[in-house]
Amino acid sequence: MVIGGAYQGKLAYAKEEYPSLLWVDGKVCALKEIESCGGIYSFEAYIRRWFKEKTKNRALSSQVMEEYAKELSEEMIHKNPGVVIVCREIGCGLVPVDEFERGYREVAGRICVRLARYADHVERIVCGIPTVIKDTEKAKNIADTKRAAMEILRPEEIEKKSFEMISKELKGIFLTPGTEPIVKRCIHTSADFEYAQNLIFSEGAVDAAKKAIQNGAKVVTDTQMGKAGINKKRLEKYGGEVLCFMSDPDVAETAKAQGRTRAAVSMDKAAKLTGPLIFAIGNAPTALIRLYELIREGRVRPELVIGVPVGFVNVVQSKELILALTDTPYIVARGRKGGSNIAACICNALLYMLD
Amino acid sequence: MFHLVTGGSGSGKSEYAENLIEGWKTKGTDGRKYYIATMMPFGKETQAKIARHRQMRAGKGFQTLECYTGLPKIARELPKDHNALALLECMSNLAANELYQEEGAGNGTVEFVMEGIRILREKSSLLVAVTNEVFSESAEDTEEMQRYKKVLGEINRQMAAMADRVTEVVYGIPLEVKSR
Repeated sequence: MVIGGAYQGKLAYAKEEYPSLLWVDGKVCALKEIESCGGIYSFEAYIRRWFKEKTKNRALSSQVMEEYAKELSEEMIHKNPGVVIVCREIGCGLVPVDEFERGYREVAGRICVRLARYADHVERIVCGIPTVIKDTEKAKNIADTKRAAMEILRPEEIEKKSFEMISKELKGIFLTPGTEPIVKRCIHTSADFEYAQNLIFSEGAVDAAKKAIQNGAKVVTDTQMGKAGINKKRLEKYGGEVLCFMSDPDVAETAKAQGRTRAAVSMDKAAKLTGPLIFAIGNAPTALIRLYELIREGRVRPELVIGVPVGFVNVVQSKELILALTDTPYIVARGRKGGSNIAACICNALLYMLD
Repeated sequence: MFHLVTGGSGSGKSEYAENLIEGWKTKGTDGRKYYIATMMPFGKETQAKIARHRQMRAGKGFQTLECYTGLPKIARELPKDHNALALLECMSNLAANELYQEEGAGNGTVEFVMEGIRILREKSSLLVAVTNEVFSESAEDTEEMQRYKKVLGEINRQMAAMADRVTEVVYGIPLEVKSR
Protein backbone atom coordinates (compact mmCIF):
# COMPACT_ATOMS: atom_id res chain seq x y z
CA MET A 1 0.00 0.00 0.00
CA VAL A 2 1.12 3.50 -0.80
CA ILE A 3 -0.79 6.07 1.22
CA GLY A 4 -0.66 9.78 2.03
CA GLY A 5 -2.41 13.09 1.47
CA ALA A 6 -3.45 14.50 -1.89
CA TYR A 7 -0.76 15.63 -4.38
CA GLN A 8 2.11 14.16 -2.39
CA GLY A 9 3.54 12.12 -5.26
CA LYS A 10 2.02 8.79 -4.26
CA LEU A 11 1.26 7.53 -7.75
CA ALA A 12 4.55 8.70 -9.25
CA TYR A 13 6.38 6.86 -6.49
CA ALA A 14 4.28 3.71 -6.86
CA LYS A 15 4.77 3.61 -10.62
CA GLU A 16 8.50 3.95 -10.13
CA GLU A 17 8.52 1.16 -7.57
CA TYR A 18 6.29 -1.15 -9.63
CA PRO A 19 7.02 -0.21 -13.28
CA SER A 20 5.49 -3.22 -14.96
CA LEU A 21 2.12 -3.32 -13.20
CA LEU A 22 -1.16 -3.04 -14.98
CA TRP A 23 -2.76 -0.01 -13.29
CA VAL A 24 -6.40 0.97 -13.13
CA ASP A 25 -7.86 4.29 -12.02
CA GLY A 26 -10.20 3.98 -9.04
CA LYS A 27 -12.15 7.00 -10.24
CA VAL A 28 -13.33 5.36 -13.45
CA CYS A 29 -12.50 1.64 -13.58
CA ALA A 30 -15.24 -0.97 -13.58
CA LEU A 31 -15.91 -2.11 -10.00
CA LYS A 32 -15.14 -5.69 -11.07
CA GLU A 33 -11.60 -4.73 -12.10
CA ILE A 34 -10.54 -4.72 -8.46
CA GLU A 35 -10.31 -8.52 -8.78
CA SER A 36 -7.90 -8.56 -11.70
CA CYS A 37 -5.84 -5.37 -11.76
CA GLY A 38 -2.16 -5.30 -10.85
CA GLY A 39 -2.46 -1.97 -9.10
CA ILE A 40 -5.17 0.56 -8.36
CA TYR A 41 -4.71 4.26 -7.74
CA SER A 42 -7.26 6.70 -6.36
CA PHE A 43 -8.45 3.76 -4.30
CA GLU A 44 -10.36 6.20 -2.06
CA ALA A 45 -12.45 7.13 -5.11
CA TYR A 46 -13.05 3.45 -5.82
CA ILE A 47 -14.27 2.95 -2.26
CA ARG A 48 -16.57 5.96 -2.67
CA ARG A 49 -18.17 4.52 -5.82
CA TRP A 50 -18.38 1.04 -4.37
CA PHE A 51 -19.91 2.41 -1.17
CA LYS A 52 -22.44 4.47 -3.12
CA GLU A 53 -23.46 1.39 -5.07
CA LYS A 54 -23.80 -0.63 -1.87
CA THR A 55 -25.71 1.89 0.19
CA LYS A 56 -28.40 2.66 -2.38
CA ASN A 57 -31.62 2.74 -0.37
CA ARG A 58 -29.95 1.38 2.69
CA ALA A 59 -29.75 3.14 6.04
CA LEU A 60 -26.24 3.47 7.40
CA SER A 61 -25.41 2.10 10.80
CA SER A 62 -22.17 1.36 12.51
CA GLN A 63 -22.77 -2.34 12.10
CA VAL A 64 -23.59 -2.06 8.40
CA MET A 65 -20.36 -0.15 7.83
CA GLU A 66 -18.36 -2.82 9.60
CA GLU A 67 -19.96 -5.38 7.27
CA TYR A 68 -19.06 -3.31 4.23
CA ALA A 69 -15.50 -2.86 5.39
CA LYS A 70 -15.18 -6.58 5.90
CA GLU A 71 -16.79 -7.40 2.57
CA LEU A 72 -14.60 -5.29 0.30
CA SER A 73 -11.34 -5.91 2.15
CA GLU A 74 -11.85 -9.67 2.30
CA GLU A 75 -12.90 -9.86 -1.30
CA MET A 76 -9.71 -8.09 -2.33
CA ILE A 77 -7.51 -10.22 -0.08
CA HIS A 78 -9.18 -13.36 -1.39
CA LYS A 79 -9.33 -12.56 -5.10
CA ASN A 80 -6.38 -10.26 -5.65
CA PRO A 81 -3.93 -10.75 -2.82
CA GLY A 82 -0.96 -9.28 -4.70
CA VAL A 83 -2.61 -5.98 -5.65
CA VAL A 84 -0.77 -2.70 -5.09
CA ILE A 85 -3.03 -0.01 -3.67
CA VAL A 86 -2.44 3.71 -3.91
CA CYS A 87 -4.85 5.48 -1.57
CA ARG A 88 -5.31 9.02 -0.33
CA GLU A 89 -5.81 9.39 3.40
CA ILE A 90 -9.15 11.12 3.83
CA GLY A 91 -9.81 10.76 7.54
CA CYS A 92 -7.92 13.76 8.83
CA GLY A 93 -10.55 16.48 8.70
CA LEU A 94 -13.60 17.64 10.60
CA VAL A 95 -16.62 15.35 10.63
CA PRO A 96 -18.53 15.91 7.38
CA VAL A 97 -22.06 17.31 7.74
CA ASP A 98 -23.50 15.04 5.07
CA GLU A 99 -24.47 11.56 6.24
CA PHE A 100 -23.14 9.74 3.19
CA GLU A 101 -19.83 11.59 3.39
CA ARG A 102 -19.48 10.72 7.07
CA GLY A 103 -20.20 7.07 6.34
CA TYR A 104 -17.83 7.00 3.38
CA ARG A 105 -14.98 8.50 5.40
CA GLU A 106 -15.52 6.02 8.20
CA VAL A 107 -15.81 2.96 5.97
CA ALA A 108 -12.75 3.99 3.91
CA GLY A 109 -10.74 4.13 7.14
CA ARG A 110 -11.92 0.73 8.25
CA ILE A 111 -11.28 -0.87 4.87
CA CYS A 112 -7.73 0.47 4.86
CA VAL A 113 -7.12 -0.69 8.46
CA ARG A 114 -8.06 -4.19 7.35
CA LEU A 115 -5.98 -4.04 4.17
CA ALA A 116 -2.97 -2.61 6.01
CA ARG A 117 -3.18 -5.45 8.53
CA TYR A 118 -2.91 -7.89 5.63
CA ALA A 119 -0.38 -5.90 3.59
CA ASP A 120 3.28 -6.90 3.45
CA HIS A 121 4.38 -3.38 2.87
CA VAL A 122 2.88 0.03 3.66
CA GLU A 123 4.55 3.30 2.70
CA ARG A 124 3.36 6.78 3.52
CA ILE A 125 4.30 9.61 1.19
CA VAL A 126 4.72 13.13 2.54
CA CYS A 127 5.99 15.82 0.15
CA GLY A 128 7.11 13.13 -2.24
CA ILE A 129 9.23 11.45 0.41
CA PRO A 130 8.31 7.85 1.28
CA THR A 131 8.44 6.47 4.81
CA VAL A 132 8.04 2.74 5.30
CA ILE A 133 5.52 2.29 8.10
CA LYS A 134 5.12 -1.46 7.75
CA ASP A 135 7.46 -4.01 6.26
CA THR A 136 6.87 -7.69 6.82
CA GLU A 137 10.02 -8.60 4.92
CA LYS A 138 12.12 -6.40 7.18
CA ALA A 139 10.49 -7.86 10.29
CA LYS A 140 11.32 -11.33 8.94
CA ASN A 141 14.90 -10.28 8.28
CA ILE A 142 15.25 -8.97 11.81
CA ALA A 143 13.96 -12.28 13.15
CA ASP A 144 16.39 -14.13 10.87
CA THR A 145 19.27 -12.05 12.21
CA LYS A 146 18.24 -12.81 15.76
CA ARG A 147 17.96 -16.49 14.88
CA ALA A 148 21.46 -16.42 13.39
CA ALA A 149 22.82 -14.83 16.57
CA MET A 150 21.34 -17.55 18.78
CA GLU A 151 23.76 -20.05 20.17
CA ILE A 152 22.43 -23.55 19.56
CA LEU A 153 23.84 -26.07 22.00
CA ARG A 154 24.01 -29.83 21.84
CA PRO A 155 21.20 -31.57 23.78
CA GLU A 156 23.36 -32.51 26.77
CA GLU A 157 24.87 -29.04 26.84
CA ILE A 158 21.41 -27.43 27.01
CA GLU A 159 20.59 -29.25 30.22
CA LYS A 160 24.02 -28.58 31.69
CA LYS A 161 23.75 -24.88 30.93
CA SER A 162 20.22 -24.72 32.35
CA PHE A 163 21.44 -26.16 35.63
CA GLU A 164 24.35 -23.74 35.69
CA MET A 165 21.94 -20.84 35.27
CA ILE A 166 19.68 -22.21 38.01
CA SER A 167 22.63 -22.65 40.41
CA LYS A 168 23.75 -19.12 39.68
CA GLU A 169 20.33 -17.66 40.42
CA LEU A 170 20.01 -19.76 43.56
CA LYS A 171 23.20 -18.35 45.02
CA GLY A 172 22.67 -17.32 48.63
CA ILE A 173 19.53 -19.43 49.09
CA PHE A 174 19.95 -22.27 51.57
CA LEU A 175 18.97 -25.73 50.39
CA THR A 176 19.04 -28.72 52.71
CA PRO A 177 22.11 -30.79 51.81
CA GLY A 178 21.14 -33.80 49.74
CA THR A 179 17.98 -32.20 48.38
CA GLU A 180 19.65 -29.83 45.90
CA PRO A 181 19.40 -32.03 42.78
CA ILE A 182 15.65 -32.46 43.37
CA VAL A 183 14.97 -28.78 43.98
CA LYS A 184 17.03 -27.78 40.98
CA ARG A 185 15.32 -30.27 38.71
CA CYS A 186 11.89 -28.97 39.78
CA ILE A 187 13.04 -25.47 38.90
CA HIS A 188 14.48 -26.82 35.65
CA THR A 189 11.09 -28.33 34.79
CA SER A 190 8.99 -25.30 35.72
CA ALA A 191 11.33 -22.26 35.57
CA ASP A 192 9.74 -21.44 38.93
CA PHE A 193 12.20 -20.57 41.68
CA GLU A 194 9.50 -20.82 44.34
CA TYR A 195 10.34 -24.51 44.52
CA ALA A 196 13.50 -23.50 46.36
CA GLN A 197 11.21 -22.46 49.21
CA ASN A 198 8.10 -24.60 49.00
CA LEU A 199 9.55 -28.11 48.67
CA ILE A 200 9.39 -29.77 52.08
CA PHE A 201 11.42 -32.94 52.69
CA SER A 202 10.80 -35.11 55.73
CA GLU A 203 14.00 -36.10 57.44
CA GLY A 204 15.87 -38.79 55.54
CA ALA A 205 13.25 -38.85 52.78
CA VAL A 206 15.81 -38.71 49.96
CA ASP A 207 17.89 -41.57 51.35
CA ALA A 208 14.82 -43.67 52.05
CA ALA A 209 13.56 -43.11 48.51
CA LYS A 210 16.91 -43.96 46.93
CA LYS A 211 17.07 -47.16 48.95
CA ALA A 212 13.52 -48.09 47.97
CA ILE A 213 14.28 -47.63 44.29
CA GLN A 214 17.36 -49.80 44.62
CA ASN A 215 15.14 -52.44 46.21
CA GLY A 216 12.89 -52.44 43.14
CA ALA A 217 10.13 -50.17 44.41
CA LYS A 218 7.04 -49.66 42.24
CA VAL A 219 6.00 -46.08 41.55
CA VAL A 220 2.26 -45.32 41.61
CA THR A 221 1.03 -42.15 39.89
CA ASP A 222 -2.38 -40.48 39.84
CA THR A 223 -2.20 -39.53 36.15
CA GLN A 224 -1.08 -41.16 32.90
CA MET A 225 0.81 -37.94 32.28
CA GLY A 226 2.85 -38.44 35.43
CA LYS A 227 3.52 -42.02 34.41
CA ALA A 228 4.62 -40.94 30.94
CA GLY A 229 7.11 -38.47 32.38
CA ILE A 230 9.03 -40.92 34.55
CA ASN A 231 12.20 -42.47 33.14
CA LYS A 232 11.04 -46.07 33.07
CA LYS A 233 14.27 -47.44 31.60
CA ARG A 234 16.21 -46.24 34.64
CA LEU A 235 13.57 -47.52 37.01
CA GLU A 236 13.51 -50.94 35.35
CA LYS A 237 17.27 -51.15 35.84
CA TYR A 238 16.52 -51.59 39.55
CA GLY A 239 13.56 -53.91 38.93
CA GLY A 240 10.85 -51.30 39.47
CA GLU A 241 7.94 -50.21 37.32
CA VAL A 242 5.44 -47.35 37.06
CA LEU A 243 1.76 -48.06 37.65
CA CYS A 244 -1.27 -45.88 37.10
CA PHE A 245 -4.76 -47.26 37.68
CA MET A 246 -6.70 -44.21 36.55
CA SER A 247 -7.84 -45.75 33.26
CA ASP A 248 -8.67 -49.19 34.68
CA PRO A 249 -12.30 -50.20 34.05
CA ASP A 250 -12.74 -51.64 37.56
CA VAL A 251 -11.54 -48.36 39.09
CA ALA A 252 -13.96 -46.38 36.94
CA GLU A 253 -16.83 -48.70 37.88
CA THR A 254 -16.20 -48.56 41.62
CA ALA A 255 -15.72 -44.80 41.51
CA LYS A 256 -19.04 -44.35 39.73
CA ALA A 257 -20.89 -46.69 42.06
CA GLN A 258 -19.51 -45.08 45.21
CA GLY A 259 -19.60 -41.49 43.95
CA ARG A 260 -15.88 -41.03 44.58
CA THR A 261 -13.07 -39.89 42.33
CA ARG A 262 -11.13 -42.44 40.29
CA ALA A 263 -8.01 -41.02 41.86
CA ALA A 264 -9.18 -41.98 45.35
CA VAL A 265 -10.29 -45.46 44.23
CA SER A 266 -6.99 -46.07 42.46
CA MET A 267 -5.23 -45.46 45.79
CA ASP A 268 -7.32 -48.28 47.30
CA LYS A 269 -6.19 -50.52 44.45
CA ALA A 270 -2.56 -49.51 44.90
CA ALA A 271 -2.73 -50.28 48.64
CA LYS A 272 -3.17 -53.94 47.73
CA LEU A 273 0.18 -54.06 45.93
CA THR A 274 3.06 -55.91 47.49
CA GLY A 275 6.67 -54.80 47.79
CA PRO A 276 8.09 -51.32 48.36
CA LEU A 277 5.93 -48.48 47.00
CA ILE A 278 6.52 -44.87 46.06
CA PHE A 279 3.47 -42.68 45.46
CA ALA A 280 3.92 -39.80 43.05
CA ILE A 281 0.78 -37.65 43.27
CA GLY A 282 0.88 -34.56 41.08
CA ASN A 283 -2.73 -33.96 40.27
CA ALA A 284 -5.52 -35.13 42.53
CA PRO A 285 -5.94 -33.92 46.12
CA THR A 286 -8.53 -36.70 46.54
CA ALA A 287 -5.76 -39.26 45.87
CA LEU A 288 -3.58 -37.65 48.49
CA ILE A 289 -6.40 -37.49 51.04
CA ARG A 290 -7.26 -41.17 50.48
CA LEU A 291 -3.59 -42.10 50.72
CA TYR A 292 -3.39 -40.25 54.05
CA GLU A 293 -6.38 -42.25 55.36
CA LEU A 294 -4.90 -45.56 54.18
CA ILE A 295 -1.59 -44.76 55.87
CA ARG A 296 -3.36 -43.73 59.10
CA GLU A 297 -5.36 -46.98 59.03
CA GLY A 298 -2.13 -48.92 58.57
CA ARG A 299 -3.28 -50.40 55.25
CA VAL A 300 -0.31 -49.15 53.28
CA ARG A 301 3.26 -48.23 54.21
CA PRO A 302 4.84 -46.21 51.39
CA GLU A 303 8.61 -45.80 51.24
CA LEU A 304 7.95 -42.27 49.96
CA VAL A 305 4.95 -40.03 49.26
CA ILE A 306 5.54 -37.33 46.64
CA GLY A 307 2.67 -34.94 47.34
CA VAL A 308 2.64 -32.23 44.70
CA PRO A 309 -0.92 -31.74 43.35
CA VAL A 310 -1.51 -28.41 41.67
CA GLY A 311 -4.59 -26.24 41.91
CA PHE A 312 -7.16 -24.77 44.21
CA VAL A 313 -9.80 -27.03 45.76
CA ASN A 314 -8.35 -28.90 48.77
CA VAL A 315 -4.90 -28.79 47.21
CA VAL A 316 -3.19 -26.91 50.03
CA GLN A 317 -5.14 -28.84 52.70
CA SER A 318 -4.39 -32.30 51.28
CA LYS A 319 -0.67 -31.54 51.30
CA GLU A 320 -0.85 -30.38 54.91
CA LEU A 321 -2.26 -33.83 55.80
CA ILE A 322 0.85 -35.49 54.40
CA LEU A 323 3.06 -33.00 56.24
CA ALA A 324 1.39 -34.15 59.46
CA LEU A 325 2.55 -37.75 58.97
CA THR A 326 5.38 -38.77 61.27
CA ASP A 327 6.50 -42.21 60.12
CA THR A 328 6.13 -41.77 56.37
CA PRO A 329 8.90 -40.22 54.29
CA TYR A 330 7.53 -37.46 52.06
CA ILE A 331 8.45 -34.75 49.58
CA VAL A 332 5.67 -32.13 49.45
CA ALA A 333 5.34 -28.93 47.44
CA ARG A 334 3.64 -26.72 50.00
CA GLY A 335 0.95 -24.40 48.64
CA ARG A 336 -0.91 -24.44 45.35
CA LYS A 337 1.94 -25.26 43.01
CA GLY A 338 2.95 -28.63 41.65
CA GLY A 339 1.66 -30.86 38.87
CA SER A 340 2.14 -34.24 37.22
CA ASN A 341 5.29 -32.95 35.54
CA ILE A 342 6.71 -32.00 38.95
CA ALA A 343 5.80 -35.42 40.39
CA ALA A 344 7.58 -37.14 37.50
CA CYS A 345 10.52 -34.77 37.73
CA ILE A 346 11.06 -35.58 41.41
CA CYS A 347 11.07 -39.31 40.59
CA ASN A 348 13.59 -38.72 37.81
CA ALA A 349 15.80 -36.57 40.04
CA LEU A 350 15.92 -39.45 42.52
CA LEU A 351 16.75 -41.92 39.73
CA TYR A 352 19.55 -39.73 38.38
CA MET A 353 21.00 -39.32 41.88
CA LEU A 354 21.58 -43.06 41.94
CA ASP A 355 23.95 -43.06 38.95
CA MET B 1 3.03 7.59 32.07
CA PHE B 2 1.01 9.85 29.82
CA HIS B 3 0.48 8.50 26.32
CA LEU B 4 -1.20 10.64 23.68
CA VAL B 5 -2.77 8.77 20.76
CA THR B 6 -3.81 10.58 17.62
CA GLY B 7 -5.05 9.59 14.20
CA GLY B 8 -7.71 10.26 11.59
CA SER B 9 -11.24 8.99 11.41
CA GLY B 10 -11.44 5.20 11.15
CA SER B 11 -7.70 4.84 11.74
CA GLY B 12 -7.99 2.20 14.48
CA LYS B 13 -6.76 4.59 17.18
CA SER B 14 -9.41 3.57 19.73
CA GLU B 15 -8.50 -0.08 19.53
CA TYR B 16 -4.83 0.78 19.82
CA ALA B 17 -5.51 2.97 22.87
CA GLU B 18 -7.52 0.26 24.60
CA ASN B 19 -4.76 -2.25 23.97
CA LEU B 20 -2.31 0.12 25.66
CA ILE B 21 -4.40 -0.06 28.82
CA GLU B 22 -4.72 -3.85 28.52
CA GLY B 23 -0.99 -4.27 27.93
CA TRP B 24 -0.14 -2.05 30.86
CA LYS B 25 -2.33 -4.14 33.11
CA THR B 26 -0.59 -7.36 32.25
CA LYS B 27 2.69 -5.73 33.23
CA GLY B 28 1.52 -6.04 36.82
CA THR B 29 0.04 -2.67 37.76
CA ASP B 30 -3.44 -3.62 38.70
CA GLY B 31 -5.17 -0.28 39.09
CA ARG B 32 -8.81 0.53 38.45
CA LYS B 33 -9.63 1.19 34.82
CA TYR B 34 -11.58 4.29 33.95
CA TYR B 35 -13.01 5.13 30.58
CA ILE B 36 -13.73 8.82 30.32
CA ALA B 37 -16.37 9.15 27.63
CA THR B 38 -16.84 12.54 26.02
CA MET B 39 -19.28 11.90 23.20
CA MET B 40 -22.77 13.26 23.86
CA PRO B 41 -25.42 10.73 22.84
CA PHE B 42 -27.25 13.03 20.43
CA GLY B 43 -29.05 11.35 17.57
CA LYS B 44 -29.06 7.81 16.25
CA GLU B 45 -25.65 7.90 14.58
CA THR B 46 -23.72 8.97 17.66
CA GLN B 47 -25.66 6.47 19.74
CA ALA B 48 -24.63 3.72 17.33
CA LYS B 49 -21.02 4.91 17.48
CA ILE B 50 -21.13 4.88 21.28
CA ALA B 51 -22.66 1.40 21.20
CA ARG B 52 -19.83 0.16 18.97
CA HIS B 53 -17.16 1.53 21.27
CA ARG B 54 -18.96 0.03 24.28
CA GLN B 55 -18.93 -3.33 22.56
CA MET B 56 -15.20 -3.01 21.87
CA ARG B 57 -14.59 -2.35 25.56
CA ALA B 58 -17.00 -4.98 26.86
CA GLY B 59 -15.41 -7.45 29.24
CA LYS B 60 -12.29 -5.34 29.64
CA GLY B 61 -13.40 -4.11 33.07
CA PHE B 62 -13.65 -0.40 32.44
CA GLN B 63 -15.68 1.87 34.68
CA THR B 64 -17.22 4.46 32.39
CA LEU B 65 -17.27 8.08 33.51
CA GLU B 66 -19.31 10.40 31.33
CA CYS B 67 -17.59 13.70 30.86
CA TYR B 68 -19.14 15.98 28.27
CA THR B 69 -17.73 19.06 29.96
CA GLY B 70 -15.92 19.80 33.22
CA LEU B 71 -12.96 17.41 33.07
CA PRO B 72 -11.16 18.99 36.10
CA LYS B 73 -14.13 18.23 38.38
CA ILE B 74 -14.33 14.58 37.28
CA ALA B 75 -10.57 14.21 37.57
CA ARG B 76 -10.62 15.63 41.11
CA GLU B 77 -13.29 13.14 42.15
CA LEU B 78 -11.15 10.13 41.25
CA PRO B 79 -9.61 8.30 44.24
CA LYS B 80 -6.12 9.45 45.12
CA ASP B 81 -4.28 6.17 44.82
CA HIS B 82 -2.18 7.28 41.83
CA ASN B 83 -2.73 3.83 40.47
CA ALA B 84 -5.60 4.35 38.06
CA LEU B 85 -5.50 3.43 34.39
CA ALA B 86 -7.43 6.14 32.58
CA LEU B 87 -8.50 6.27 28.96
CA LEU B 88 -9.90 9.59 27.75
CA GLU B 89 -11.73 9.42 24.46
CA CYS B 90 -11.92 11.63 22.54
CA MET B 91 -10.43 15.09 22.95
CA SER B 92 -12.08 16.30 19.72
CA ASN B 93 -15.49 15.86 21.37
CA LEU B 94 -14.49 17.30 24.72
CA ALA B 95 -13.03 20.40 23.07
CA ALA B 96 -16.19 20.89 20.98
CA ASN B 97 -18.42 20.44 24.03
CA GLU B 98 -16.46 22.96 26.06
CA LEU B 99 -16.51 25.43 23.20
CA TYR B 100 -20.16 25.16 22.25
CA GLN B 101 -22.18 23.83 25.17
CA GLU B 102 -23.86 26.34 27.43
CA GLU B 103 -22.11 25.04 30.54
CA GLY B 104 -18.80 24.77 28.67
CA ALA B 105 -15.67 26.82 29.21
CA GLY B 106 -16.05 28.75 25.96
CA ASN B 107 -13.04 30.95 25.34
CA GLY B 108 -11.21 29.40 28.28
CA THR B 109 -11.44 25.88 26.80
CA VAL B 110 -7.72 25.27 26.30
CA GLU B 111 -6.68 26.19 29.85
CA PHE B 112 -9.67 24.44 31.38
CA VAL B 113 -9.16 21.16 29.54
CA MET B 114 -5.42 21.18 30.21
CA GLU B 115 -6.05 21.63 33.93
CA GLY B 116 -8.19 18.48 33.79
CA ILE B 117 -5.44 16.60 31.94
CA ARG B 118 -2.85 17.65 34.52
CA ILE B 119 -4.99 16.38 37.43
CA LEU B 120 -5.79 13.14 35.60
CA ARG B 121 -2.15 12.54 34.85
CA GLU B 122 -1.21 13.04 38.47
CA LYS B 123 -3.77 10.52 39.62
CA SER B 124 -3.04 7.73 37.21
CA SER B 125 -0.18 5.34 36.64
CA LEU B 126 -1.18 5.37 32.98
CA LEU B 127 -3.19 8.04 31.23
CA VAL B 128 -4.04 7.45 27.60
CA ALA B 129 -5.69 10.38 25.83
CA VAL B 130 -7.12 9.90 22.35
CA THR B 131 -7.34 12.89 20.07
CA ASN B 132 -8.08 13.39 16.43
CA GLU B 133 -6.19 14.55 13.37
CA VAL B 134 -8.66 16.97 11.80
CA PHE B 135 -6.16 19.38 10.36
CA SER B 136 -5.67 18.19 6.81
CA GLU B 137 -8.64 18.49 4.52
CA SER B 138 -9.50 20.21 1.32
CA ALA B 139 -12.83 21.72 2.36
CA GLU B 140 -12.73 25.45 3.06
CA ASP B 141 -13.06 26.22 6.79
CA THR B 142 -15.71 28.56 8.09
CA GLU B 143 -14.66 30.97 10.82
CA GLU B 144 -16.24 28.71 13.42
CA MET B 145 -14.39 25.66 12.11
CA GLN B 146 -11.15 27.61 12.15
CA ARG B 147 -11.72 28.56 15.77
CA TYR B 148 -12.39 24.95 16.72
CA LYS B 149 -9.32 23.64 14.93
CA LYS B 150 -7.19 26.29 16.55
CA VAL B 151 -8.41 25.26 20.00
CA LEU B 152 -7.99 21.53 19.40
CA GLY B 153 -4.59 22.11 17.79
CA GLU B 154 -3.48 24.10 20.82
CA ILE B 155 -4.72 21.39 23.21
CA ASN B 156 -2.99 18.70 21.14
CA ARG B 157 0.30 20.58 21.19
CA GLN B 158 0.15 21.19 24.93
CA MET B 159 -0.76 17.57 25.62
CA ALA B 160 2.05 16.35 23.37
CA ALA B 161 4.53 18.59 25.17
CA MET B 162 3.46 17.08 28.48
CA ALA B 163 3.18 13.48 27.22
CA ASP B 164 5.81 10.80 27.71
CA ARG B 165 4.79 9.20 24.46
CA VAL B 166 2.88 10.35 21.39
CA THR B 167 1.69 7.88 18.77
CA GLU B 168 -0.08 8.51 15.52
CA VAL B 169 -2.14 5.55 14.34
CA VAL B 170 -2.35 5.21 10.55
CA TYR B 171 -4.65 2.45 9.31
CA GLY B 172 -4.00 0.46 12.45
CA ILE B 173 -0.22 0.96 12.27
CA PRO B 174 1.25 2.86 15.24
CA LEU B 175 3.83 5.49 14.29
CA GLU B 176 5.94 6.84 17.10
CA VAL B 177 5.91 10.63 17.16
CA LYS B 178 7.53 11.12 20.55
CA SER B 179 9.03 8.86 23.18
CA ARG B 180 10.98 9.59 26.30
